[in-house]
Amino acid sequence: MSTVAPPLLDIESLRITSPARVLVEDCTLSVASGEVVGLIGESGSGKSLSLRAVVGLLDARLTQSGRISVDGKNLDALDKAARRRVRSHSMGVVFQTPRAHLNPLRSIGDFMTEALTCVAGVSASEAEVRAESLLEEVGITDPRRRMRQHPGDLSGGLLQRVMIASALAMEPQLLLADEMTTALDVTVQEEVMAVLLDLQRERGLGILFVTHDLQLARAVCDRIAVMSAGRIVETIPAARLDNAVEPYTRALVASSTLSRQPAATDSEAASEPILEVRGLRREFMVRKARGWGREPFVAVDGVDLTLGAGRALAVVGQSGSGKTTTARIICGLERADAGTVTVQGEDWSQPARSVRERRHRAAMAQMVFQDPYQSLDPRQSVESCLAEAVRLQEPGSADAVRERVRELVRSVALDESVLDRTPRSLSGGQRQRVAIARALAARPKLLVLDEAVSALDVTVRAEILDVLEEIRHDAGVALLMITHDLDVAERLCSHVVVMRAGRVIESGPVAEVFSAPAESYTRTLLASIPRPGWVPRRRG
Amino acid sequence: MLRRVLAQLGGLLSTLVIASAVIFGALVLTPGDPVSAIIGGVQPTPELIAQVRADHHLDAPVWERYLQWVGGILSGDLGQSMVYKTSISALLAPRIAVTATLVAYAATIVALVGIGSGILASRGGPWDQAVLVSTTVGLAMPTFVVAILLVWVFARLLGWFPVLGVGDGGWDTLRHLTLPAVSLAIIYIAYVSRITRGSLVAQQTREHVETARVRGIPSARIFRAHVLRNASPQILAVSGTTFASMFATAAIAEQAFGLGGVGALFTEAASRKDIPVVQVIALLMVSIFVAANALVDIIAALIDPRSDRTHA
Amino acid sequence: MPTALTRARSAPGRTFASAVALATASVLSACSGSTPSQEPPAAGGRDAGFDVVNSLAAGRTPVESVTWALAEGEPSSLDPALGYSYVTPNLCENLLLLNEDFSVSEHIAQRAEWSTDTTFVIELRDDVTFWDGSPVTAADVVYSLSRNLQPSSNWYSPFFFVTDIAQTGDLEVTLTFSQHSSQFREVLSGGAGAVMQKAYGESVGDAVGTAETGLMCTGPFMVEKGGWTPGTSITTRANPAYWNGTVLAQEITYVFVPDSTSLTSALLSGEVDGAFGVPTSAAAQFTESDAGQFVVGDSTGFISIMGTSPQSPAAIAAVRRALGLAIDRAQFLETILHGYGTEMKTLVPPFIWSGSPVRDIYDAGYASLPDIEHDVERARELIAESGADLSEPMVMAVPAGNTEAMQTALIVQAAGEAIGLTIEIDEKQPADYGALYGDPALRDTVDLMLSVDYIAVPAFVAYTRLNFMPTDRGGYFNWTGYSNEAVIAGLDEAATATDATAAAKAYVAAQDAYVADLPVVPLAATYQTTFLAEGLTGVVTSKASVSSPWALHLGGRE
Repeated sequence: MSTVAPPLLDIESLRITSPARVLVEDCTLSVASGEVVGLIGESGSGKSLSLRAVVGLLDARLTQSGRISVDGKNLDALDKAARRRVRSHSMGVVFQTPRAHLNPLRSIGDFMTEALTCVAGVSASEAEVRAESLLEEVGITDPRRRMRQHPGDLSGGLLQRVMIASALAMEPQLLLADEMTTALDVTVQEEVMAVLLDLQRERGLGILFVTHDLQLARAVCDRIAVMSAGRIVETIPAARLDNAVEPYTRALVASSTLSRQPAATDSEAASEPILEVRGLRREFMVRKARGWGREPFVAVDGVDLTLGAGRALAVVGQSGSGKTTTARIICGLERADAGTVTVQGEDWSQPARSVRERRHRAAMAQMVFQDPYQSLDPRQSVESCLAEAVRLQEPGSADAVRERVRELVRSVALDESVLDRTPRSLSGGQRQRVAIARALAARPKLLVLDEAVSALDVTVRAEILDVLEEIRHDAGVALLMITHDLDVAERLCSHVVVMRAGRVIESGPVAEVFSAPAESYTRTLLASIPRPGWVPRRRG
Repeated sequence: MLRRVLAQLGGLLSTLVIASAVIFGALVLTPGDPVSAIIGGVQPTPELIAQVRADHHLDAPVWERYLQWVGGILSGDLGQSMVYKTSISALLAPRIAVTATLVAYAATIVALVGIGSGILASRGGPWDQAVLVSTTVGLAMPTFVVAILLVWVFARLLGWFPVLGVGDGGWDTLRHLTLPAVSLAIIYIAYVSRITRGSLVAQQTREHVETARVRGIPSARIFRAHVLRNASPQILAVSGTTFASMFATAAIAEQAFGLGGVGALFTEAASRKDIPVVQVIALLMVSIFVAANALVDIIAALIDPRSDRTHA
Repeated sequence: MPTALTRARSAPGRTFASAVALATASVLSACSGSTPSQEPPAAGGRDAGFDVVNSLAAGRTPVESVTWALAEGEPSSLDPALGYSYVTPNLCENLLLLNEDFSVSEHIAQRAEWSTDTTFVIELRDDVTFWDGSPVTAADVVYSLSRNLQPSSNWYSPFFFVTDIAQTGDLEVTLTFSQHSSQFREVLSGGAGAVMQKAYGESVGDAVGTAETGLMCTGPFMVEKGGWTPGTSITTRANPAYWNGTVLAQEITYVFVPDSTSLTSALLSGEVDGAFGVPTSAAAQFTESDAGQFVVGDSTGFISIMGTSPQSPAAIAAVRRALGLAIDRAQFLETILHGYGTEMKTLVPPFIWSGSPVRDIYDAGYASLPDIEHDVERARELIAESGADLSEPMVMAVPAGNTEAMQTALIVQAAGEAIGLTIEIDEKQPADYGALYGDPALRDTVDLMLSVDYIAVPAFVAYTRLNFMPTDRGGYFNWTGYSNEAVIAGLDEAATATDATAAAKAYVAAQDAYVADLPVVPLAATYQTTFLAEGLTGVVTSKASVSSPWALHLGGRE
C-alpha cells in the first residue's frame, strides 16, 4: 500500500445535500491500487449516495461539493466530455440488482460490446472477441451462446458475473461495487465473490465495496469505512473490526453476530405439537420449455414438519426451494394438492371455506410478510390499522380497544407516538413491528414469518428478533420462520428444516444440523455464509 | 415466433366468432319490430308486412338466420341493405376506400406529431410545458369542434383547403382529406403524445439506462437503443388501439366534411335501423380492432424477447 | 325549414305526406318552349322583407359541370316510387309536369283526363325517347304505373281504387277505378307518374334505382353505371338526345352534405355550386355573400303537431285548441325560421292549390278562416274546461338530429307549461320516428308528434282525407279517432266530385268544419330556400323541384 502513485480514487470532504437536508457530510475516503475498501452502513446512511456521486448518477435535485479525484484527476476540474471519458475508462461499476441494470430487450452480447464499440471505438468483431474472453474470465462457460441470450434467460448469479465482466471491458483499475451480492442467495454470493476476488488479485484492482453486510465486508476487504447518518465515523483495517473503538461500529459488529439465546435450549422438553404437516405437495402448471402447452412443476414435494407449541422452527433454503409455498399453504393462502396440515388437532389442509372459519383460523395463526409496506393500507394511521385488527377478533368498547392497541404497540417495543403516523412515514423496522403487532392482535398461537427480517438492517434485525423471542417466550406463541438466513434460524429457533427443490432434505435440532450437517447441500449452505476468516470459493 | 403468430390467429378467429354471434344476437333482440322500421311511413297493409317478413327471412329461427348470415359472409355475400336495397358489399367498397385513406392519413399525422411531440416533451424543459399545455387543449376538444374551427380558419378565412368530399385522387385527395384527417387526429395526437412522453420518462429513470450512462454511452445512442426501444412496445400498443378506434370515431370527421365513409354509414344505418348494414360494419370494426391488436402483439414480440422466451 | 324537412324525411319510408302527395311540375313550361319567368313577389314575402321567387331565368350558355349539394344527405334510392331526392326528378320524368307554381300541365302524356267517372285515359306523345334512344311506349307506361300497385310503393295509397291498368292503344293507357278520385290527375305529376323503361325494369327486378342498377328514364340527365359512388357522390350527365329541349349543364355531380355548417361553408367558399334547403339560420351570410344568390321560393312545407292515440289528451278538441292558442306564432316564425315562414291556418299551406284552375275558391275559403290567435288566458280556461286527465306529462315525439325541430319542440314545451300542460320531449331516431306511422303500439307510447313535412304534389284532398277521415275509411293518420260528420261528408264530396268547382266548394266546407276542431295544430308554413353560385341561373326554386326536372334550364347567365 505504498502511496507513491496517487490513489485510484480519492474522495475528499464530499458533501451532498438535498434542498431539505444534508445527506452526506465530510466523506473522505481513498482506494489505492490493489486495495479492497469496504464502505458499510445501514440503509440511508449515505454510502450508496456517495458511490453515485463518484460515478455521476446523483439526482439533479441534489447538490454536491468537495473533491473527487480518479487516477489523480479532479473530476470537477474537467469539462463534461473529459469527465465522461475518465469515468467510462477508469472505473467500472457493479450494482445491486443486475436484472434491473441490464436492458431486458437487448442481448448479453449487445450489452457486453456496446461500450467497446460506442465509447472505445473498437470494431464490432474485435469487441465480440474481447467480450467473449471477458465472460470466460468471470467463469461463464459457453460465452458464445450466452451472448446471444437475453437477460431474462440468465440467473441472477450469471447476470452479476456479466455485470462484472462488462465493468472490466474498458480495463479500468478501479471497480465500484454497490451491494452487488445483496440480492443473491448465499451460495451464489459466494461464487460471485470468489470470481470478483480472483479478478482483483489477477488484475490488481482497487475496489470500493459498498455493502450493509458487515460479515461479508470483513471477510473480503482490507480496510473498512463505517458510515452512519451521512458521516464516515471510522475507517479501520478489517482485521481490527472486533477491536473498534467507535460505539457505532461496536454496535454494528455486535448485532451482526447473532448469538444463540438460552431460550432456544428448552427444546429438549417435550411439547404438544401445534402444527403438523404431513406429505404436503403442491404442483403449479408452468409453460413448457419447448412445444405447446404447460407442464406441472412440483413446488412442494412431500414436506413433513412438526412445530411444538411455544417453540420456534426455521425453514431454510434458497429461493425457489418451496419454503414460501409451504408457508402459504399452512396459512390457507394456497391449496395443497396432497398431504395434511393439522393445527392444534384441526384439519387445515384446504383453505377456509366460510368467513367464520377464516376468522377462527386467523385467531389461531397469523402470517407476517417480508414487505410490510404492501400489506398495510398507506392511508390508514397505525392506530386505526391496529384497532381494526383488534375489533375483528375481540369486539369491545372504544376504551378497551384503545388499551389493547397500546398494549400491542408496547409488546413490539414501539413508542406510542407512532400511533398517529401512516406506514409511509415509518422506517422499515417500525413498519415490520406494526405488522407483527397487527398479527398479534388476534392473540394467535402460531406466527408464520416469511422472510420477515430479511430486508432489514442488521441492528434493526437484531432488535426485531429480540421482540420475536420475547413474544415466543412470554406469550408462548409458536414461530415458524421462513428464511434464507441461517443466522436468523440459529438465533431464534430450536429446530430447523432444510429445504431444496421442494423437498425437506434434512431436519433436526439447530445445534445438531448446523454443527454436524448430514447432507452436503447443508454443508455448502453453511460454508457459504461469510464469517471471519472466510474465503469464498467457486463450486461445481 | 411462428407459434406465436398461429396462437394470435387462433385467438383472433375465436374472438371474431364470438363477436359475430354477439353482434347478430344483440341486433336481432333489439327492441322494436324491424318491419315497422323497414316500411316506415308506408301504409302497413297486411300484404306488405307479409312481404317484408318474407323478403328479410324474419320468420326463421334466430340461429338459422345467424348461420345463414355467417355463411353468406364467408362466401363473400354480406347481404342486402334494407334502406338502399342494394348489396352491402357495393355499399361498403367505396366507403372503405374513403375511410381507410382518411384513417391512414390521420394515423400518419398521429404517429409523426404525437410520437414526435412526446419525444420532445420527454426531454423536459420548456418543450415539455408547451406540449403539456397543447395536449391538454387537444384532449379537451371534441372532433366536431376541431372540425368547425379548422373549417373556419383554413377553409373560410385562408381558403387553403376545401371543406367537402374526397377529391379526384392523388394530391387532390390529400388536400381534401387534410382537414378531416387533422380534426380526427388531434385528440389522438394528444393522447399518443402523452403516453409516449410518459413511457419515455419512465424508461429514462430505469436502472439499465443509468448503467449505460455510467459506461459513457453517448446520450443519443442511449435514447435510441435503450429508452426509445424499451418504450416502443407500450407506444406501439397504444398506437394500435388508437389506429383501431380511429375507424370508429372517423364517423364524426366524415360527417363534418361530407365524406361518405364507413363511420358515417354506420351511424346513418344505425339511426335508420338498417340492421344488416349495422351488423356487417360492427363486425368489420371488431375485426379491425382485433387484427390491429394482434399485429401490435406480434410486432411487440419481435421487439421484446421476453414475451417469447422459453426458459433456459 | 327545408333542411329540417329533408332531414325528417330521410327515414326509410318517408312520411306519408309526400307519398300521398301528388304533384306536377311544369316549371318553365318546357313543352310550350317558353322560358321561365320570374314570379311576381308573393305578399308574405314582401312583408317579411324578401322577394319570393319560384324560378330563375333560364340559362343562356352551357356549363361544363355543376356540383350540387343535397342537404338531406345521400338518397337511399333513385327509384321514383321510393325515395325522394332532388336527383330523381332530373332523371325520371313524370307523365304530367308540376310547374313551379304547382300547376299541372301535359308532358310525356299529351292528354290525361277522366273519360268517365271511373276511367282515366292517358295519351302519350310519340316523340319521347329513353336515354338509350328507344321510344316510350304504352307498355312502358303500364309497367311504370303498375309498380304503384305494390304495397311497398310510396304511391300505393292514391292507387288504392285503381282496379286495372291496361294498354288501350299504341300510345294509350287506360286506368279503371272502383271509385272516382278527384285529384288523381295531379298525382301523375309526381313520382307516381314516373315513366321507366319496362325492359330495364324487368332486367333488374326489385332493385330499381340502386347504385348498382341505375335507371332507364327519359329525363334531361342520365345516371350511368358507376355514376353513383355510394357515400361520395352521384354524377349525372346531360342527355344529348333529350326530347324536350337542350340541356345546358353537361354534368351535375350531387354531393351529400347533411351537416348544415359544412353546407354553409361549402356554398360560401364556392366548393359546391348550389343546394336546396339551405339553413335559414345562415340567411344573412348567404344574402351578403358574393359567392352567389340566396333565393326564397314557395313551398308546401309545414310544421304541425299531431295527436298520436285516442288516449292522448290531444284527442280532446279543447286541449288542441288551447295548445294552438298558447303558441306565439310570430315569435315562433322569428326565432325558429328566422322570418322565413308564414302562419298557417289549416292543415296544408295555401301554396299547394295555387296552380289549381279553381284556386280562387280555395283562396277565398282560406281567407274566410278565423285568424290565428295568441291568447294564453283563453287557453288556460280551455284546459280547465276540457276535463282532460293531465296527471301524466304528455310525451311529444320529435325527429332526432334536427335542430329546428328540437327548437320548435322547446317552444311548444314552454307554451304548454304556460297553460298547465307538461310536455316531455322524446327525440326519436329517423327509423323510430318513421316507425310511428306504421305501428299503433309505438304511437301509444307518445301523445304528440311534431311533424315537419311537405307535400310533393297538389293532391291535398287525399292528404286531408288521410288525416281526418275515420281510420276504416282511409284515415291512416287519424290516430286520435277524430270524427266530424261535416268533415267526412265534405271530404267525400271533394274526393269524388267530377266537377272541379263542386269539389273545391266541398273541400272548403269541410275545411271550415275541421279548422274549428283543430284536429291537427298547424304551426307554420315554410319556404323553399336555395343558394346558387354566382354566374349560374335557371333552376326551379319553389318546392315543385321535388317533382320536376328543375335543372333542365340550369346554365350560365351570359
